[in-house]
Amino acid sequence: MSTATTVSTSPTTAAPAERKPTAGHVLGRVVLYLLLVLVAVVAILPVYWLISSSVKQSGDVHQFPPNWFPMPWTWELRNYVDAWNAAPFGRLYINSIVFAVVGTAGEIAVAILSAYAFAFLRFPAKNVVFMVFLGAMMVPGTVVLMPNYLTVASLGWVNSYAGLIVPGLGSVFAMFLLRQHMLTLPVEVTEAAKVDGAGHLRILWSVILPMSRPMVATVVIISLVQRWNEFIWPLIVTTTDTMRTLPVGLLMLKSDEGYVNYGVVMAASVFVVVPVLVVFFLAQRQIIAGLTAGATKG
Amino acid sequence: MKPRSALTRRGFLAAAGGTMAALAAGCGSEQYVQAAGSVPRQYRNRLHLVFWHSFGSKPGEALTALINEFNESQSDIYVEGQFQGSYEASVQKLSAAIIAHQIPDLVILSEVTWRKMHLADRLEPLNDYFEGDFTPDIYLENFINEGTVKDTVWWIPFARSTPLFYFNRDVFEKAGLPTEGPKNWRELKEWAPALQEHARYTLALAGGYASWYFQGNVWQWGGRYSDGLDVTLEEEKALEAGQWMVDFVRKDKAAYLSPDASVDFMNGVAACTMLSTGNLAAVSEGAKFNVGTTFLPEYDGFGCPTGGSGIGVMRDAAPERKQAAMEFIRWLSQPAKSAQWTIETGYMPVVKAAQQEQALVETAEKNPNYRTALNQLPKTKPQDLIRPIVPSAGEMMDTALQKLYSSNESVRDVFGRLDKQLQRKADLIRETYEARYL
Repeated sequence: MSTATTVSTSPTTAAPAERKPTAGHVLGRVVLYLLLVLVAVVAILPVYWLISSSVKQSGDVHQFPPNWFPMPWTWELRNYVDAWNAAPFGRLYINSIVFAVVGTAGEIAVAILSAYAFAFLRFPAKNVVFMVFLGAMMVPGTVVLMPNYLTVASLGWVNSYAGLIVPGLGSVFAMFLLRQHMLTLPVEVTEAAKVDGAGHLRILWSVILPMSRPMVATVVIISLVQRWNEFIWPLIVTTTDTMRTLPVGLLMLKSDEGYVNYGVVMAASVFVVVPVLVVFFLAQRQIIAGLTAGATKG
Repeated sequence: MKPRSALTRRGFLAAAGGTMAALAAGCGSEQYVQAAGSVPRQYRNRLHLVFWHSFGSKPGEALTALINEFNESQSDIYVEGQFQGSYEASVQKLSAAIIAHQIPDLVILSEVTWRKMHLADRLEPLNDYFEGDFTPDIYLENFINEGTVKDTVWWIPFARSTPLFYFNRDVFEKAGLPTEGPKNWRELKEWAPALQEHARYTLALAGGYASWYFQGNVWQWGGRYSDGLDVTLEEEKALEAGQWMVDFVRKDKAAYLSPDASVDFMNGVAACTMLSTGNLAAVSEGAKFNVGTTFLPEYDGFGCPTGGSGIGVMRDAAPERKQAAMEFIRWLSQPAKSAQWTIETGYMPVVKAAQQEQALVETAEKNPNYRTALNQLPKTKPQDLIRPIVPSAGEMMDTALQKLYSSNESVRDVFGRLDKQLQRKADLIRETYEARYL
């Protein structure tokens, strides 16, 4: 009655790493990786084209067949200098940062408060009001451009930070996402807090928000990137370069008839894209967590 | 808890109501104020002019240089140039600004957008501002007449351009063809097979502003886009002009619709193309071959439209600002300044005497292609009214031509549809048109 305790165990109990990979496995892996590389190349291609074009001499950007690998000795780094000087980029950066950061902070604050109200408060016509808000989401942005401009103009906010930031503060999209998320939170925790004597603000701050962190992070990222790239509203509401944001500044490098040095335009576009890339790399864990938050329960 | 939140809600609603009332009151006032801007400290005691323009990139730099020069040359006026995007974006902002009663003092308006402002009666009539040696005669007749309606000047020429026929001199040489380029379309058709041994296509047709370039063709065949507001696209001559080009595309396979005609030309894909004089600098630099230019080819005659933009003064600006605006325009219209603008941007010199300026003469000598545009200038004329005056007419016509160049639809069908579309829209503004023009 000796039980076999030898190390050479049957395949079913061996650790996977010790199992010899079959040819089929290897092939499967190779195909999978090839596919992933292909998708990655397609995804990164526009960014690669942007950066490689930004060091090309004028006219070379248009070359056909395209020059995919400009050699370092042909690099026209002057494009970056020219781009920086073509528009007041220092000022544009500051304005873009203020617009994005302050605007997002304000939007999130408003969204959190209104989401909480719609999720946990009871007031007359609550559902009607919510439906009206949802309906507002369906209105195309261009339709409200003129009325918003007129309102902002009559308040004297044309060409000012107030005019840039305030109109975007009420985001139904952000509020909707947060409200839906708050509704999925376990009711017991809220009730426990209420029993302990917490008021609404206390519950929001100490109970709801910590549990909503991934969703809030997602909304912050979406809002930040959208504001960074926002073009139409800053174009309409600002008139002088000291108040403009980066996307509008890019416009100044183009001209209706005649000469556009696309190498310089690409270099300027790199200025606009880099901060977003940096933020993404720093915050990518939060972004992935937020995007996959609903994937599994709990 | 309930009473407290109800009070807060009521309080909020009251405040909101108050704001709405204030807004309504603000909208009711008739006063126009100057659009927002900023004035550097050293210019604070001067009269401040806000000048909206559409020039970025190189022309933008040239204009800023001119504006700075003006500001430094005198001590009464400070002109602040504000870039507002393309011609179309700028006029949209202007429309919004007018409704909001916060307007600039002078604006760059294209040959299309100025008519929109004129029809809306928002431009200042400029006859009374001319005095001494500052008269409408200093400008080239073609240009100043285009901005004159019922003997009143509304629009001063500034950045005017015309189409030009560009061709690849090296390819023409290799094909054994005359290196001055084709005189007329029949020649080009004959030469097409020889040219296409060295380039994929003979002629690249631009999609954007297609109807501006085609305006020349319609005139060359003896037709017109319109007679005043009456669209004449269904007349025989216009149809023939369209048919010839369509045959050149479909039967001879010599022409094609290009996503970017200047790029294709610079890459040697097409041996010839039609582009604005404004593209000359870029194309000369970007092409790796000898660039030749010549007049637009003739058929039964010559035809070439004008384009570009000029300056309008806003009727609702304060009187002293309008006066100051004309001072600035007067300064810009000195032959030396007009020549300076031309040299740096490639736009045409709008002031007659500018063509004799030494700097301009030397530039034309160094770059013979420059001379082509100047020599073609006296033969150009303003576009048929339908394209500039009817809202979005340019876009509709461009789309129709792009369809003709890239599909199998018949000229009769496409032009017939376009004719009806344009006529319908023209009839909507007929009353205003007759009041302002007749």
